[in-house]
Amino acid sequence: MKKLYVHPLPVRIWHWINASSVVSLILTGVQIRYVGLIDVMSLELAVSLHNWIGFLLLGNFFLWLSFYLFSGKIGTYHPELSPKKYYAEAWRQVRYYGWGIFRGAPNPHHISPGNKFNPLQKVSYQIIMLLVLPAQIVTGVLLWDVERFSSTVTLLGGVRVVDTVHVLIFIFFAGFLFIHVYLATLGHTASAHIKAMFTGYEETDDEPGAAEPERDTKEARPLVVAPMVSTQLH
Amino acid sequence: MLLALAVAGAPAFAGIQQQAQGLAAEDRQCLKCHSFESLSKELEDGGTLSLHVIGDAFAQSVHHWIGCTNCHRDIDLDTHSQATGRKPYANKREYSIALSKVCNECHEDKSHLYQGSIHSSLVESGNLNAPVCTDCHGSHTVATRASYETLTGVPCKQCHENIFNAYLGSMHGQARSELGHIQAPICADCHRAHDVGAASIGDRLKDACVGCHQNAALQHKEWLPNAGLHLRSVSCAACHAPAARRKVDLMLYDGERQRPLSEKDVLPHFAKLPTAEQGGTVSLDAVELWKLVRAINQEGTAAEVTLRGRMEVATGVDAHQLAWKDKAIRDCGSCHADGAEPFQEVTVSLVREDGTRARYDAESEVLSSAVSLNSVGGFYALGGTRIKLLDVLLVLVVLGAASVPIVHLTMRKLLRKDRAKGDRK
Repeated sequence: MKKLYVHPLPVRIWHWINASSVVSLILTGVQIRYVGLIDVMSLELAVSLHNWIGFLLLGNFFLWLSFYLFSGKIGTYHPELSPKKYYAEAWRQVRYYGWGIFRGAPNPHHISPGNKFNPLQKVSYQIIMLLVLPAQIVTGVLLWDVERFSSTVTLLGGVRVVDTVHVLIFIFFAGFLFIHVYLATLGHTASAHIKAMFTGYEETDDEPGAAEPERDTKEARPLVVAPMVSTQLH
Repeated sequence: MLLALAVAGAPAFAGIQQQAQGLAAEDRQCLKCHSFESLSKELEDGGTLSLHVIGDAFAQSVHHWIGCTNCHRDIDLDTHSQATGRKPYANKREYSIALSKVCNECHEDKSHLYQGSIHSSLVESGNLNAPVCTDCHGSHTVATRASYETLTGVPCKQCHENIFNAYLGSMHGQARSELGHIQAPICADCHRAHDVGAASIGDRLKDACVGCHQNAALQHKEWLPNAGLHLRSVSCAACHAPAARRKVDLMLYDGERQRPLSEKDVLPHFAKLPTAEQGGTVSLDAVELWKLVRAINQEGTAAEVTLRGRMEVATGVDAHQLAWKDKAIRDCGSCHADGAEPFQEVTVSLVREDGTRARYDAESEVLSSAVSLNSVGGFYALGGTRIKLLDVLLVLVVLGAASVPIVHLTMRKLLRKDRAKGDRK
């Protein structure tokens, strides 16, 4: 296995602050929305926490944006510009998750420091980071102080419209978390990608074009390698 | 009748000279007849108008130096006793309205304020109970301003007795009656004396509260999230009168002209609907309300008509049951929980020409329906008026998203043999 440094420290810091913020915002958001049904904390406390964590996420977003803009690594998020080529790559990835993975087919995407996202991740993360998350931040800030931003709120159709957009994106993130966490377990071990987000190093096969090994194949590998070593020793 | 009175009342003349000290001789002359309680005049509607004046009371009034004829200028002493050439009045009301115009000549500023009041609007619309000058100040007993600002002398209670009683029990009333704080507000301090406005229109009453409680905004900001929005969308009494019944009023608002929509602008749309006062079983549901707002906006007015929501107390009595600060509602859940009481009663309102509100009942679901997203876009209370369809969507999305890993993981386990074959290849 080869170790590749694909997650620089600022990205890892951003990721875990972002992850904990999103989870906290979802939990406090649920408390805010469902007072009476859920009473883990007071509404006052939930709103206060939600506001503070929201601003933490806002600042963290700019950490992410600054890093990718000024480090020149923003290309990580850029998908293939040729639609034909992109759709072919994306379809391969869809087929892998929808069929190939069940049959032990290799992951068509080969991770590298400059190309750590597969085609589906590039598009979805770009939409999330440049559209969905900013929309959530903007609507959140507007709802934080409706009077201060009353002209903008009115322009957007009123507080109910702004809140509905905020809640729709909250619903999206609530669903996204399940998919994101599950996909993070599809490394060569269930925890490989998660560990990598702490250490910065992703483990991958030496051979270019080789599939990311699955947990089962990793367990089987010593059985294959051992006789070879043994032969050499002889 | 006048002649008979003059003869029969001769012994009383001396008494009149003793009474009403301070009045001019000419005025005492008038009292020779008008001091008799039985002196009256028949009106066109068959009623009688008492012409009795209590001399002492008039002598003590602030108007005693003006004299009788300065107000009663239509009196010609030559023809007075024959009662000829004088304008006949249809009823007492008409007489009061006519005589109150005399007040305007000296009290032009107060008259101007009164002309813009809800009382004046009601008088003009034919309301027989709405007050003119003499209804509050009396006709011959006009007193100093201070005398109208006491619990015993305030004239408002003559018509608004139940509200005044609620006020007496409020912290403002108690502060005056029990603690002796004469600076505690009484009716006119909030509602004003002459330019009394409709209580439910505009920010005047809120301004009155904030006029004394100047730190209210800052104090609310210390603990209340979105304090500014709360202060705009929730009436003070909704929290500070904890015993009050609360409701939501959706006022049709003309965004172009920046004022509430008047009834005459859109009356055809409401012609078939009974107002809340009229009762009835008809109330607007979310779709009807959406269609109504859309129809009004499609009529070609440049204005975009919207509904401005505001949490209010249900009645004037409720509004005056203000409690001491430590009793005010501070539990957010009383509004922000599902099914909260204030959102169970909803009205849609317009402003009538006389300045009062015409209110039409609406279903409580107009506050939580997805259909109301646009029509009730300006009013939303976290939790309490949340859109139910979004709850369904949340459950579906979470279940759907949670099922993806479960199904995918199950497939991987089930197809492990196939995967092993694939690996060998």
